[in-house]
Amino acid sequence: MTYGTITPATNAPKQHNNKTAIHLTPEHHLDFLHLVVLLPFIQVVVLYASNFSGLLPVFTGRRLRGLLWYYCIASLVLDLVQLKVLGLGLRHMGDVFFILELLLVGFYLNKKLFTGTGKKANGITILILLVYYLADTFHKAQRRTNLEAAALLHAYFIVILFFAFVKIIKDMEYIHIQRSPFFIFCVGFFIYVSGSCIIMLFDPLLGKEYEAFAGNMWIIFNFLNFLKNILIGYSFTLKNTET
Amino acid sequence: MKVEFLVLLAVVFMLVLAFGIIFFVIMYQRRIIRHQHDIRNINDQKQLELIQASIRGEEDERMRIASELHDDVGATLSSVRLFLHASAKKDADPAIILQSKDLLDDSITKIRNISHKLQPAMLLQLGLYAALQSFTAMISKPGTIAMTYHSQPIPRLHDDVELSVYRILQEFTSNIIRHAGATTIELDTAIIASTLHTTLVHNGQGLTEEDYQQQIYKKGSIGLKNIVNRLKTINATISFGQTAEGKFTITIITPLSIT
Repeated sequence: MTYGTITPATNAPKQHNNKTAIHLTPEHHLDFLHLVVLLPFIQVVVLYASNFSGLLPVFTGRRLRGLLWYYCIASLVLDLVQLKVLGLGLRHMGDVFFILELLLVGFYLNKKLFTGTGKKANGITILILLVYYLADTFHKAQRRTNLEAAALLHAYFIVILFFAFVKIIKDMEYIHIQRSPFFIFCVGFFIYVSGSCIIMLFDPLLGKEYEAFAGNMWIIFNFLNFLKNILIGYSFTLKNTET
Repeated sequence: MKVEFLVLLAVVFMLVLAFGIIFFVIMYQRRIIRHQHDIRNINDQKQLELIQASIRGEEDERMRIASELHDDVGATLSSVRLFLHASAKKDADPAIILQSKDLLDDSITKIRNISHKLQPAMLLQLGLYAALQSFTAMISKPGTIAMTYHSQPIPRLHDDVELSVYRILQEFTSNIIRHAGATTIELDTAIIASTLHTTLVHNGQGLTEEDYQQQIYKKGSIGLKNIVNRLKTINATISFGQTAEGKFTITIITPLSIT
């Protein structure tokens, strides 16, 4: 999922410039100005790269057709919706995406990591999180995506992926770990959820005053999304990929 | 600015932590692989040494049999031939014929001993208990070495267990006589909770656990390596110790069921 719009970044230069210019040396000031000029450009590049990077896993995993592939489809659809490529503009599209992410990736990891009671317990945890997300979203009835609840879902993924790394070390299925599709997926998704969890947690708290800064934070989010898509796309090309 | 900095710091911290965990997983996995590779190398090396020891043991055994046949039985039979040749020239001399008969008896005994060592018929026909009784009697030589065997009768065991235990005891006894300088050897066997406990006690200069571990990893020590091989094939364990009187003990515990 890609987040952010191009508009917040237009405010960013003014705000940063006013607040920090006094403390900067002339050289630093020049560098800072460069960054300020480049920032909207970087934002646009990262936003588009992030949105269209979803095409890679959808393409490379087209023959696998597993839970992960459907997750990539959902991610790509949301990205294209956000860019208004598909001409849709659903208010709760983000919420739908996070629910799909929880179900598709959650049950994929559940299948890969757990057996017996652990599998059942994790399955129940996923359902509890789903119920919480829905209840919280309806309760708040806000006009934007429920990012606080989404941050909780990503925190859950951080914990589960930690188990995944322990399992990878324990099982030792691959001599060259970089050849393991599951490890590559875990790396991509772990980096993505680690960064996005904090960004989504703080974004609603920042408020209007820090709108420009929050906009810039989404550059990082989009970059992480880009990285995740590339790594998942790569993992689909490896042998013995199971989705 | 403070809030911005803190949020940025939190994101950076989280990402650094994520990369750190991934880096740790990669490094840890590599370390384990390297460690396993080293262990595999050591095991391969050990396996190779055991195979070499087994081949050399077989070759040594062949050489020993060849030399026994050539130097001992061959020489005796040549003497018999000479005596018979001499007696054929003269009228039958009863003394020469008797001497020839004695030499032939001697040869028959020697051949029987060699055959017994190669394939202990008693072991195959009557089992370990009878074979060890016969073996003890064969080893004991008055004034040189006294070997005794104490045991309740042992039921027939799996062929592999019987043969391996017998060969291991043969090897240890031979080593005790040749290297430890012992004058008494006591052999005990007992069945305890579906395992066969075999104990050798001797008054020579015996092996300790540490000596044994060192010897089996050393080059040479073919006999001991063959013992290790045989112990492995029957899943037996071995331990070394000393009695209160300072006698050395070797205990072999063998499971009666072989998988």
